[in-house]
Amino acid sequence: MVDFVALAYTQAVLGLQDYAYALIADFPHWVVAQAHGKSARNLGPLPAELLGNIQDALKFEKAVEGHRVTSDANIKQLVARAIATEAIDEATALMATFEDDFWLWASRVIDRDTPAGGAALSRLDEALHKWEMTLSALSTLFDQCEAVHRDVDDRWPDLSLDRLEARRAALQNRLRAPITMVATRVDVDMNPDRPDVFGWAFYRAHQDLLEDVLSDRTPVRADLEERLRGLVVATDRAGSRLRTTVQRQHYRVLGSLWSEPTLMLLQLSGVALVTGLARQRSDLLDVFERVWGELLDADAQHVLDAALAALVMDDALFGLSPGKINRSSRHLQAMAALEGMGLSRDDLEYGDLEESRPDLSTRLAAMLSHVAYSDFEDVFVATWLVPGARRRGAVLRDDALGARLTELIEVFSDATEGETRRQAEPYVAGPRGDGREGS
Amino acid sequence: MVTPLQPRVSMHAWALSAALETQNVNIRGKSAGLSAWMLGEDFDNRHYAYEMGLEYDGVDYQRGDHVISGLLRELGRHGREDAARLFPQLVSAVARDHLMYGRCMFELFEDADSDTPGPRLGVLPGWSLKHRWGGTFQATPRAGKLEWRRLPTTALIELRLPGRLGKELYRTRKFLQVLDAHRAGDPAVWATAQSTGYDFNTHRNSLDEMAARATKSIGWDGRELFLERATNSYRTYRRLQFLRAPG
Repeated sequence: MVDFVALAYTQAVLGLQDYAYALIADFPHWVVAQAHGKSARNLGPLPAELLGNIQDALKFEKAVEGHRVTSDANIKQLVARAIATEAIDEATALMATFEDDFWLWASRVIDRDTPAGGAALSRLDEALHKWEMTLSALSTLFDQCEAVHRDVDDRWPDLSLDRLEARRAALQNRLRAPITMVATRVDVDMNPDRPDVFGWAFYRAHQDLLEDVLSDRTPVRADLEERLRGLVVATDRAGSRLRTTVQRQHYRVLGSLWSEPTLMLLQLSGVALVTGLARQRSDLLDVFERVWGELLDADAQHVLDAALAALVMDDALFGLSPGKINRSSRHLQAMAALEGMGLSRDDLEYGDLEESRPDLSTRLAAMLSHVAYSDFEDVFVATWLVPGARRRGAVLRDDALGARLTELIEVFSDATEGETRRQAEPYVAGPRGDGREGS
Repeated sequence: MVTPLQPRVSMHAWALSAALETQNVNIRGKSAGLSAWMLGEDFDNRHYAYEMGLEYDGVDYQRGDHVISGLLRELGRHGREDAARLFPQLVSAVARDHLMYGRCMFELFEDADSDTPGPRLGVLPGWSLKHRWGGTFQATPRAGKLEWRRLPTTALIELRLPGRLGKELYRTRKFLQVLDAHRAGDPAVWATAQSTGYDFNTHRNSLDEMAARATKSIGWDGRELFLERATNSYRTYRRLQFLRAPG
């Protein structure tokens, strides 16, 4: 039931978006045409009534004066005001419906932890995603309406969409924790009659965490650690589901597919490590270190072997797979965030970071240079996971490593255990030589 | 040859209005209908020349102002008024008389008892006048009866409006009077509209349109009574036209 209502709500949001786009096209010329009797657009009640009145008024003055007196500019402004007023009112009412009526009901269903709750959650998430596009369409529409607002004494309603955007973002944030919870609890078995709730929640939770890591939000969200722990559990569940469902492939393809969830987690951790060090965000690094530290404390050898196996299996597949494309997209997102910090990809790949960014430690510069042409997964394993696992007594088997990974581990293995520990903490800029022992 | 001015023959407008004998005659002026009455009021209330000033040639300002305010003193409403304030009232009085009676006449006379030098203009209410056999007669109460007194032609001054404006005003008033008679104002009739099937909206729209057409030449907006369907732009257009019309 909640699934269907959410779907209907999403349709309403999409309807508002379509309405805005329909009005944007050829605005304001169609307004004048419609005022002269042409049926150019299907309008809401308020502007439709206004246009009806304007049509009548134009007929009246034509009958009295023999010619038209009211100018096109006046007609455009009158109709633009009616359109903008109606659209902002509709959008506000639609958002209020979500917050006050729908969310309260849906959140109770979600808390029951059923497949229906998961499906409802996915619909809610979709509705909020559609809201983003609708707000963008409304923004364009309001810009066009304001462009024909000539008479400044004519007071218009507040057309700012900032508050609606903030409310949408707040709702989106409320969904993050429940989505991760669904990924950890919902039944992983696929039912052809139902949407794949687990698959959706797993990817959605990953994307949310990646956005949190890249956003440089201070402080980090309170539920970030809990969601990361949830994602570790979801990674195990995703791996086991893949092992039971994906079969009858070449063993290299199979290995690549099976290892995909682990690779995504390693990639996320690698992005957090690199951006956390570059931004000197000890709070973010602490969250990841605590979670991975507990995993290693429990069974360091198993965690290390699983991570290395995933990397090797990924290397073994020459070609494109859906997982690789997905990770490539996430990699680009991370590189764009680094570029936002003044670290352009060209500088990282071809430039001399020691000269262009003397404030970076040699170790971090090496990590950045590596991710410019390779993966965050490798960097995380080589710089943090391998030393951490070794410290806890795990043994690194050289025969299980590919050539690239072996070289990378060697590059970063010069550091002592104490130094490795320091990498996970905020980098404190010291004398130039302090941070350059790794190269 | 200059004809010397004679004492006043006509009766003062206020005294004429107050006399019981003239009440039946005066009804001409009162029965013009709501729209025509409002239009006449608007000529008084909306003057274009708020900032008008006078300059005198040959005499100093004080004497010039003295002479003109004496000439127009009957048009004032608050006793002695500045000449520059009386001029717009002269214009609206002329416009109003044309609107109501089709012409506007004054009697120019010498007032021996006046404290101001020069002649004076005596207001002749249009409803009290009758034009017969080439002469002008005024209804005058006399011993409880009404008699028509001939006014001396040489003392009468007729003021005209520019172009065809005078005729337009009179014609407009006639039209509005007819339309006023067809206004469906009775709520009981409105209430029966559904059962009778008569479309009062169409009725009203037609009347509004006719009223707007009737007042088109002078631009009066009818205090927006018949411009309910018009846009604000058109209403403003009409207001500006009206301010230009009687000048």
